Amino acid sequence: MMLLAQVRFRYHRGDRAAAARVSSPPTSAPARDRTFDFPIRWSTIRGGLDPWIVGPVFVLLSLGLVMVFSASAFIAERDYGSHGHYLWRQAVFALIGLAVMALAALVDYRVTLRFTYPLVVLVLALLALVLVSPFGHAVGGARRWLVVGNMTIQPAEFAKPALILYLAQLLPRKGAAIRSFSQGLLPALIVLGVVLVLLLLEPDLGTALLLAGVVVAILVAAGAWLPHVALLGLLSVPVLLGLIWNVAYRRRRLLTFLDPWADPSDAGFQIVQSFLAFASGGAWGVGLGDGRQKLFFLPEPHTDFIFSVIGEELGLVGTIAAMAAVAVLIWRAVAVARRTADPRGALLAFGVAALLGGQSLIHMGVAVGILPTKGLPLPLVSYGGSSLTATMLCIGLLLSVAAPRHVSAADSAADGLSVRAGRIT
Amino acid sequence: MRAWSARNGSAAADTRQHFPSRRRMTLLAVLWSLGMLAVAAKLVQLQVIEADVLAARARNQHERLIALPARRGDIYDRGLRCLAATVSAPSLYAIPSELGDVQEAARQIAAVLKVDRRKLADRLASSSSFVWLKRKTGKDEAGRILALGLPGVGWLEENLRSYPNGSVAGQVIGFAGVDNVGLEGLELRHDALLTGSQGRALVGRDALQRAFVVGQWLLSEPTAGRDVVASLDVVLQYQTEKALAAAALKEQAVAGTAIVMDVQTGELYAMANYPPFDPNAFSGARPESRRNRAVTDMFEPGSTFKVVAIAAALEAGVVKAETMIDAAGGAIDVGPHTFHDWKTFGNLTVAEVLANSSNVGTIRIAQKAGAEQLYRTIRRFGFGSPTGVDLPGEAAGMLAPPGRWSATSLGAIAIGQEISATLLQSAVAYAAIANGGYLVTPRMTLRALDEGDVAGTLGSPVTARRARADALANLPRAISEPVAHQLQRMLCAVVDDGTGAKAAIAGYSVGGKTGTAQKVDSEGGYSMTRSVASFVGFLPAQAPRVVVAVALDEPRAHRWASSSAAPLFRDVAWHAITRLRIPREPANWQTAGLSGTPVSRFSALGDAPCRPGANGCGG
Repeated sequence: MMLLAQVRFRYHRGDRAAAARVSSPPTSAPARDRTFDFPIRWSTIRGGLDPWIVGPVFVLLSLGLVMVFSASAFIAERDYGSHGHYLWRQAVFALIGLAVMALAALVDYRVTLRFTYPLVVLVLALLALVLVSPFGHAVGGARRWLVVGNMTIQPAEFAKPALILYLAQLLPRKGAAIRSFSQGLLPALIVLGVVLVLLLLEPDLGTALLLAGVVVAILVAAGAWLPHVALLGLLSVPVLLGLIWNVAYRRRRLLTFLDPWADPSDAGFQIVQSFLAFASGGAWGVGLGDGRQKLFFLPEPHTDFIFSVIGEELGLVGTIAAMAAVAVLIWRAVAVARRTADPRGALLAFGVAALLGGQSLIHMGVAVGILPTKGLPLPLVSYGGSSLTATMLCIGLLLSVAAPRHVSAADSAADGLSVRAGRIT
Repeated sequence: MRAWSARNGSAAADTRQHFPSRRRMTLLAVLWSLGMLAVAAKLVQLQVIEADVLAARARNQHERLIALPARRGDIYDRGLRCLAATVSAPSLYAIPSELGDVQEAARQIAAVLKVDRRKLADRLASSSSFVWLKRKTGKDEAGRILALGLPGVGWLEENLRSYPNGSVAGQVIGFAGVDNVGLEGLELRHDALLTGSQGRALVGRDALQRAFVVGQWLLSEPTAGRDVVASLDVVLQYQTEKALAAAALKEQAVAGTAIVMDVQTGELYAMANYPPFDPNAFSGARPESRRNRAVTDMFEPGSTFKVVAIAAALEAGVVKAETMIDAAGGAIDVGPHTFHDWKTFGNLTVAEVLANSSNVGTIRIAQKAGAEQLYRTIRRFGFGSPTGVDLPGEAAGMLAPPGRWSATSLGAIAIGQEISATLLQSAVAYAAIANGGYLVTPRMTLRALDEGDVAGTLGSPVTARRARADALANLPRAISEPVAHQLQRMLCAVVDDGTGAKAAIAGYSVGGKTGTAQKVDSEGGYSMTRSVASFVGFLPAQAPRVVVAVALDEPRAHRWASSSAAPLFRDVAWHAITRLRIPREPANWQTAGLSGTPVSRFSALGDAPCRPGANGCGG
């Protein structure tokens, strides 16, 4: 808020120089774009919020509140003596998230991009604080949280939008140099590497792998030379295997994934319980609130396995509907990325699509057992303040990119790099 | 791949390259969509194709079928006096995980329950989630345990089987175990009827195996067990047991049995066993006292069996009651074995053979009848097969067919050796003589109690007799009616002026026979000291009502049944007379009977005052 207040203040004073700087290369927006006079106002998105983004987001957010309550009521009763504990917290997070989303949507993303580097530095600092400061908080051997007062922050969640913003800011500047390893990829990979090292120290292999995947997807989309990407992939294989094989529980999870029924009562317990949840639900589900698998059979039913709870209570109808909502959101985000002439906006939109799509796919894939067990929340649905806020921030950025003014013909024509703008390939 | 090589193939392509690449974005989105389709396919597999199998597995872990116990039916005697009832008693349990300090809890509990502290602590420290502290305890003890205020300690109401009469009819009633399953006696025999049917309910449970708040689905209501009415008269049973115990003590017998049975209906009014057994404390009882010897124990009947050999000869027409039998010399060789009499007789009539219990005379009569006729008659009296009484564990007795008999067998079997039978089988045989030749099936149960049955109306001997009198004609015949009547008179003579004199009851005519069977000792021969003394008889001889059979195992005070079993018979028979209100008979009935006047088998009963008369049978 403070940052934003400064922005507002500066533009109120009519700091034309700053406005010019923001709107300068490589997009060179035309002067008639009045966005920068007053960045937060409805007229900046006068074409309206994209319903194909807002619609699925509200569907998933509502589904999340209901399912978080259903999945967590018994656990909350046991742990906090109040069955609504997680529901009310999630409701507050949703309000905060909506505010963050609105803010990010109303501010032109090109303004937001200006704060990329401070944001990256802030996230890195928070990640380091998790590891070394007394505020760092460990649960079950993983040191992933910062606890300040009664607030718990998971900096890894904010590393996601930070990295997307970073790449969206960095890569378009490279132009064709993206195809060079040292000039194009290396700066991106260094920041990614630092983040990954910090994440692996927590350890949080799941988020690390997700972020690596998202970064690779953005690099590919940005036009990286594919042999570079393939080489990176080859190099990461032994590292990944080492990370998995040297840690007993990861190795066990991988082996369990290969044959979950080998030991359904012990190692395979989580995934088998997830299977049973889906099967109990069948086509139509056992009904909201009537699921049994959340009664301490499923691990973390309100976060890592909320898709299984949906499957049990709402059936195949519910799971397919949730997947459809996610698919609409992701395809809309990709469509926004494709039609946005400004490469920064395009990469930003695509990064959001890659992050939300990738994380959703991993969450669902784990729940149905086609991916090894990795605890990742389902974006917009699972319980978690940091996750929800960071996700809503991403949605806000996406809405900002999707605002109609950015796809005007003038913008496209002004984009020197885009010779086939507007054509859908 | 083609897009990739094309892009790298020409520098010209680079100039047209759009950064970022829309084509690559689309490609990645399509790849992502394929991943989503894979998830969807797996969802269809889990939620539709394999749903049934997996969902059953899920139900298994969510739901537990529990049984809702049905009230076990009561057992009543024929006067609807309670023999066995179900009362509720608290059972104390502990949930170890909630106890906290197990050692301290074990110490406090052990102090109240007076059990070993260490053993209790071991049980509480085990991994089980539920431990019985003590089942079916008293309300006081339960109150003291609950007053300790230990977390995780509670109580459940459990059904406790109670036998209000203590050891009276203990072996007949049997007992039900801790889980209310009948294990012996009527409790076992009528277990299905008494148990009723359990209700079933599903209880939801969570992963921690706790029955959960998601509730209970009642699948079926429990159906209470039926109450069963036994044919016993608990008062007569008590009197019989007391007489039996007194006799057993007096004769220093190791065991004893007494039966009182209706000769026409086969209803058992009393069935006593010594030593006594209290089903309330079945777990501590010695196995030999739990046995219902009247149906489970076989012994050689000895002289009581002689009546069967004589019946065989009478039926075959080879002798009459007055036929003279040469019993001279006091000994007879049959095959390699010589049988002796207890004293040397001369010529005896058939009736006198029985009255004096002459071995030699009986063997000669049996020889006249022949082996086949003897065997046939034995079988028709029901020996060698179970009587079909509605009690568990009945023995069939042992009887070899003539084809397997040795040269000695005919003589031995005629006097009740080489054959074994239960006392109940002997009682049934004598009942056949008493009721005119019909083989009854003994019954310990009248029926299941119905609503509306009132004490006093159900088990009245009079109504039961009248109701079942017609059924008698449908029963298999053991012997013809004339033979039965001849035997009745002969047996009456045994008591009047034979070995059964001590069984006589003033004012009543009694027919019966003693039996002293030596037991087989360890060398395979007959023991000189160990024997079974028995007496089986019926009364009143004019119109027989009941058969009374008694046996004393290894009496030591008197060698002969005439001195040990006969007095016991008299005592039991006297109790039966008073309890069943059997009226005195006219003093001159025997003369009338001998002259051939048909005897009314169904004389008026019930109202005549019962007083022991001064006159004996016949005089």
